[in-house]
Amino acid sequence: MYRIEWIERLKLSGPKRTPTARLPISPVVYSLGFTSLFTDISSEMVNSLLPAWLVLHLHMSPLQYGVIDGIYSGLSVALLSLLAGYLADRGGRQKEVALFGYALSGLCKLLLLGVAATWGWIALVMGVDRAGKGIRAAPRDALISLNSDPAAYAMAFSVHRAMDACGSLLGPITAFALLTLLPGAYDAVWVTSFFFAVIGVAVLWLFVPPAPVVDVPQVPSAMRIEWSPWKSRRLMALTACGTLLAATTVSDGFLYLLLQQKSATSAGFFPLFYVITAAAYMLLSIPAGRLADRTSRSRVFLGGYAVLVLLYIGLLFVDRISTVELFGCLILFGIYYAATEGILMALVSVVIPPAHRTSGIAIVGTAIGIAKLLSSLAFGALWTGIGVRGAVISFVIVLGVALAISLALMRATDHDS
Amino acid sequence: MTRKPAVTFAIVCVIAVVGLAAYLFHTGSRMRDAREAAPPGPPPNSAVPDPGSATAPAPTPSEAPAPAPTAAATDPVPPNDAPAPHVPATASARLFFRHNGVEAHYGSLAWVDTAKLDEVHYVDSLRCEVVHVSGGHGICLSADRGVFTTYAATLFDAKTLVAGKPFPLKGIPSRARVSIDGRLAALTVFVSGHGYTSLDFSTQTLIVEYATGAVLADLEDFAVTQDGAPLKNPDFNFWGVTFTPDAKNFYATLSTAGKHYLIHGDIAARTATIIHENVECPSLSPDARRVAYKKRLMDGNRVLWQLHVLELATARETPLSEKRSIDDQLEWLDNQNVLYSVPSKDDGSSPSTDVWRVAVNARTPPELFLRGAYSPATARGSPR
Repeated sequence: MYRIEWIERLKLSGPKRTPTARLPISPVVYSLGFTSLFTDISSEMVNSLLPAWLVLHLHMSPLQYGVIDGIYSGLSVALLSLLAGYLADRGGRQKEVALFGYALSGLCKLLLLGVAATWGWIALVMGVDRAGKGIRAAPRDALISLNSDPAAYAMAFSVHRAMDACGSLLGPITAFALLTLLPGAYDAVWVTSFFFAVIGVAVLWLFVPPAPVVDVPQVPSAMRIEWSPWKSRRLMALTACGTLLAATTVSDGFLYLLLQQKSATSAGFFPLFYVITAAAYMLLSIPAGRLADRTSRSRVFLGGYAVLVLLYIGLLFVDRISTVELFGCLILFGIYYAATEGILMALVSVVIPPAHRTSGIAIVGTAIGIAKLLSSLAFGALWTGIGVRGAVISFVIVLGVALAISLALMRATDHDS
Repeated sequence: MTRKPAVTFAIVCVIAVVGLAAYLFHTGSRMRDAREAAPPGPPPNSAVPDPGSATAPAPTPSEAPAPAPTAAATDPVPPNDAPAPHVPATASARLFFRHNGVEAHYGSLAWVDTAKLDEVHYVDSLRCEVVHVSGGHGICLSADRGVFTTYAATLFDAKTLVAGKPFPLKGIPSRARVSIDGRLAALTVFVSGHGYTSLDFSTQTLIVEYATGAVLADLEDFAVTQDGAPLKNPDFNFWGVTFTPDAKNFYATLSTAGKHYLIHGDIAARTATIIHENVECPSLSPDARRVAYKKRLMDGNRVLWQLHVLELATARETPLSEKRSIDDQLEWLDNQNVLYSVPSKDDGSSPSTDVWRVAVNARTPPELFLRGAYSPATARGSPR
């Protein structure tokens, strides 16, 4: 079986293993998982209440700003994360850069308190929050992979993602529980959110060691980013696949909208859709990671997208779905997340030398982020042009094609790593 | 190696837990104090008296009005029972609002007699984020904060305060209006597409029939024309409907490509025409000659909404003497004065708002009109 050969080759040629990586999952991964869990509780508490707070509590009409803010911050965060990746790699300072990103977002929760609550200010705070998110993602993922055995990358990432999803489940629940006990006390929510963020940062600060020292291949000039020594065909292929698939995937909101229309549930249940998906993601992430490590990461990854395509095709041709089917669809959507999100990072991490790990992950993440942004703009344009159904059909067709191309690309480069 | 971080972590956790507990305790006691400090106020059962009604005794809920009669579609001219200028200022009229002072009645529907502003009557059976009353009928947009916050609209009779069955809304309540004949209501909600992850909003603006509670129209379906040419963009957002006295037409704001237009819409024909630029949240005067609105001006990156009045016949804009930035749909108290809500503390630290009044013709400065109120609505007109 070539697959076994592949793993064997990987083990032989892969990055030098660190002494702590004897266990399949390093305690560092769990620590990073807890950091993300607490941070996600913190940020989802705020995110889930922010719209209602702006309109009902501060009596603001938030139109227009959000859209502009989304595009601006999307692009600037993309650039920031590239810079953060580069800086983290230069001195092996993944931990410090990640710490900075987490701390920045944590501080934003406090800034929501008491300061002149104008739209410009809130947009700024949210922008800084997202910048923190952009800064921390790549160094954190680099730390996960640098502290793990390459044979268990998918498992390591999926453990982290499962804990992350758990946090994003608990966040809204905590927020709503608080508001039930203290009606209208949004400031109490922000303060609670801040303390969760502090604990997340403390876990990272105290329990995550600096990235293991790697034998740095000499980079000719510190200021010049030298791509060629580590830019492999495989990495190019993976980046292309990730970007292509992200660009052709319809954003979550539209799937929920489609599900809501077909199942005739009230729009008030939207948050419940989100919760079920996140729960499925949380529970299925680790099995998916294990499967990916044991069989083939690329197949599990592409399989996740195949599930999404089938889900969309099914929804397009069915007029009405029962509540049970609705749950089934949301669980399938969770499977898609479990099979793609962390697995791609595992696939990518394998082929980037440790000395460039953060930059490489940042590049892939940025490419995907920009692809998603452009895709939602394209979807919006199509929607106006040919209607929702037409837009979804065209996206599904293109996604199918992208899937086929990705399969070919991954096959062609499977032995490169 | 592992002991020291664990100790530090324990200390951080203890500090966090103690800090949080202290803050939550402080918040809890602050809210309890606010509740206890609630003004003694009028008797809670204040829904029944019908001030200013010398002719008929107050109707009891049992003889709640029949559903509003369907519109007299043949009426060619604006109804002459529309209040003449000056009338509401002298006669006593009810002013409905959302009570927005932070105490026990926070968020409930309330009303005052415009002649006796200090006597607030609370309608504790209805809690509204936004309210409007006209033509004897009212609309109340509410938020139900359960594990998942849901939103609903309730139509009610302004005299008996008997409410209909709430119907669900797709998003966060923003604006509401009832036509002068009480036949139609309009509402705007903010729908945020991705809810949890982003700040991008869109609006949904609906026109609802009072008698049946049925949605008559969604403004998104209207064919819009600009200078005679059709206009259609993906980023269309409509908000802030104000009805004409015949309730067959309306004015509203259409936002597209960073511009905010005043549109004049025809409900039956499902058409709308752009008639002016930079008009948000229009509010038609009782005499239907002028539109009061907020005009968007930029101060660097900040938006400053300045109140203006547009004379429809001449398209002449006049700024009002209010110089603060106001984010509200104005309400005409009479043909000379408009009402609007302003946060009680301008740093946004309190959810409390007050209603202010400013004259549209005179240069007199704005005055505080009603404390702890939001979404004022002058109950004029009667159901037809």
